[in-house]
Amino acid sequence: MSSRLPHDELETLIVADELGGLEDAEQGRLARLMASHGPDCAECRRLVTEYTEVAGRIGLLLEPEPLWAGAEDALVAAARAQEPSWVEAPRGGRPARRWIAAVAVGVAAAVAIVAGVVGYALAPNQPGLRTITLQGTVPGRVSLVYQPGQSDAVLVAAGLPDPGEGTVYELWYQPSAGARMRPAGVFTPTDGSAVAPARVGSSFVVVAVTIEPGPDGSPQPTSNPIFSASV
Amino acid sequence: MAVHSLEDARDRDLVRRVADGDEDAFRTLFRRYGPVAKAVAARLVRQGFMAEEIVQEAFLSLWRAPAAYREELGTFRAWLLSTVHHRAVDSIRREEAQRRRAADAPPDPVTEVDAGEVVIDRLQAQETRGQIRRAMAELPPAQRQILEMMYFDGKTQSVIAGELGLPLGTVKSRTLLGMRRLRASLLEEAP
Repeated sequence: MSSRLPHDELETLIVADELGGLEDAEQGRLARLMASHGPDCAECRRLVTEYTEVAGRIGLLLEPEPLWAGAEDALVAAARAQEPSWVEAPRGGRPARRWIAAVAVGVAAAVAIVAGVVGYALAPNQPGLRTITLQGTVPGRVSLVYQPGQSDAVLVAAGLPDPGEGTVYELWYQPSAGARMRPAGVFTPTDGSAVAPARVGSSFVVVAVTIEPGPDGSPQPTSNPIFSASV
Repeated sequence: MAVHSLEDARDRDLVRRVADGDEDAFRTLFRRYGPVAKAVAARLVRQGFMAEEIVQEAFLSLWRAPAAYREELGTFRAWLLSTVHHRAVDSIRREEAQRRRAADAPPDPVTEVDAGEVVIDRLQAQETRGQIRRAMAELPPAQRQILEMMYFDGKTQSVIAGELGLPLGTVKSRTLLGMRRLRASLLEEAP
């Protein structure tokens, strides 16, 4: 498939996405189309690369603004403060408080529901499917297609960075407020894209993605979530 | 695709060093691209403190996950500005309903940076900006207007269609044609 498939609609969506002009539902459409082309679609990669470059250059038209006083030192201090959460997070015990806090922040930031677009594409004859798009702190898109009351779900991801050697992405769900996070499956994108089965509880209030040691992931999160959403 | 190869090679080397935990490389990237990143964010969110938060978060995410930037997918500069732009657009869409845009605040105190480096970067930036201005000026005004409303004001195609009284399909086709022209002008000519 991939490059032989038509790219007319994709190109229209990609240019608007790079300019920030897509509605949420159209972003879901873009993610679904790119997933249908697969991770090896050279034409998709070319279009995204080239239009990202063009949009980035439009931004260069603006006169640079001076950095605020102490910005550089504050940034480096914040970066240093983040390091322990990646390398010294507890293993096997209760999830770190900062992890829970980070989920709360991510959830508060924004949650976009793509109303059934991906779900319809994956299983057009199944009623009641819902799609939730996770808010990320890194580039890429992650959506979860699920059916309330059922444990089986499908994760659809596009534009994700490589998680790094020896690590995988792991999906988590929180069955109820205050409960500990439960593993829902691991996945490794190929050229940024993934469509992976997941098992979530029959109900959940938060879903999140972290990077964990591969190949099987962790029983509990050991790093900050990079994507999250509340239901 | 034509790229500013020397500048890009330098950036890519810096990102590789950031992946190794090199704070100096991180600082250099921030000094080089922080100001233009702030300009992009500030143009959209119109509030200095929000723009600063967006820029800082974008750089922190680079520090946390430098593999997020993949060299085969273009220049670091474009990737960074795209990241900042998307964050700023998300921010204004979230707050659009209740936000009242604050009046322009007086400029913050300026961080001291290496003067020589600034001069070199400014010369390169002026050259690049001139090239982009020419490319934008060559666009039909109807296409240019839509690209500017989308990129600089963070408006969706649907909103633009409503404001200009145009069919959505016309806005989409003008967006596509404008971006294709820009791509031809900017990426298919020597840097």
